[in-house]
Amino acid sequence: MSKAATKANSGDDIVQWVTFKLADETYGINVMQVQEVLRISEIAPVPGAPHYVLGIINLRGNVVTVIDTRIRLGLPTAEVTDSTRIVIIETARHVVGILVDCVAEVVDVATSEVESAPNVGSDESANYIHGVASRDNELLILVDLNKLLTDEEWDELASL
Amino acid sequence: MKQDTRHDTLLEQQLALGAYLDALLTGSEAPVEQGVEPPEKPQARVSAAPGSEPAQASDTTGSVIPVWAETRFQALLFEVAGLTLAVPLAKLKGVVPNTQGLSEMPGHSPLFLGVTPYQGVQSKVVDTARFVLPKDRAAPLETGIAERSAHLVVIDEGRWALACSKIGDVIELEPAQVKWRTAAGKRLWLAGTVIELMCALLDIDELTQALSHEMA
Repeated sequence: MSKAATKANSGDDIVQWVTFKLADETYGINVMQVQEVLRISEIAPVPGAPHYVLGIINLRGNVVTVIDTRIRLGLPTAEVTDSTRIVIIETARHVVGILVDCVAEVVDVATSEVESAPNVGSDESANYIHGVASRDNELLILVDLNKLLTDEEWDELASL
Repeated sequence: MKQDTRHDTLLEQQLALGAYLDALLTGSEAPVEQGVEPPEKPQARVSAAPGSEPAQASDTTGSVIPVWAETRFQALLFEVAGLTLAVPLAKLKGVVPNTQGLSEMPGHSPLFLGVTPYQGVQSKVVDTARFVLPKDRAAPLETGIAERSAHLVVIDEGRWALACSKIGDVIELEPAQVKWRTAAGKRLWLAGTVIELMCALLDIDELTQALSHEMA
């Protein structure tokens, strides 16, 4: 019997998370919200867009807005490298791309392993942290993509 | 001649540090320039009145003395940005070298360096230098974060860890050796100062409350 099945039988739900790196920290997003992972391509800037919007890309005929995740999370900016990826995600309201340093793997996390985010004086815009989990002596920061932006910001994105 | 000059310099530095600790205790702006007045001698403690609140008591001089310091107690010295602090062993959970690094949470307060696992708990690591030093001294901190957080002093059952550059000795103190904070003191996290050791003794209960308040 697989580990996941064992845990499921014991009543502990397993959620799969796609992990990625940002500024040496590991973040996770629910695999069900990930549509695809792209190598970085030409991103067309959008005049007047919020500062955390890198621009738009053409994804098989569809226009997708790309968010600079580092800027959104208040992290220092970094050069694009060979490992940089755009993760296309589907939130409750939009399909957007988020720029990440690199995509790592897909991990199983039992709900019982998820702790609430430590209160470290984060500002309100940090509500997107769903929780944290310890993986191999490393902290996995789980992101609630629906809260990555506020309702007003999602609306603003839609109007671009 | 040279020895005299060196002795004078050391004496001036000691006086300056003493005055600095004194200013910390009273809550006034800490002097950093030379020409400061020598600190007062530590006052002998008068027994706390029975029936006072459990965590600490005030004596007739207005000094606030924590319960753990009513008799001889032990404390661990550690260094933060050149300032020696002491944590009572009664309130210490553990001390660990910061070898595996800290996980930085996005959007965190500048008072925090990150989190680190400690015995199954995610300990929140405090930039102790930024917390204890007056703002004008904390802003231009000379040492980098790596050096400031070489060791972690874990308190409050692992919920908090104080980043420090160096761990010192465990000392034994008589309550009378400590110049206790008075009820009028603004820095509630400071239990008192030990002038003969040039160190500031932390009140961990008040410190964790202050940290939680910072996070609210």
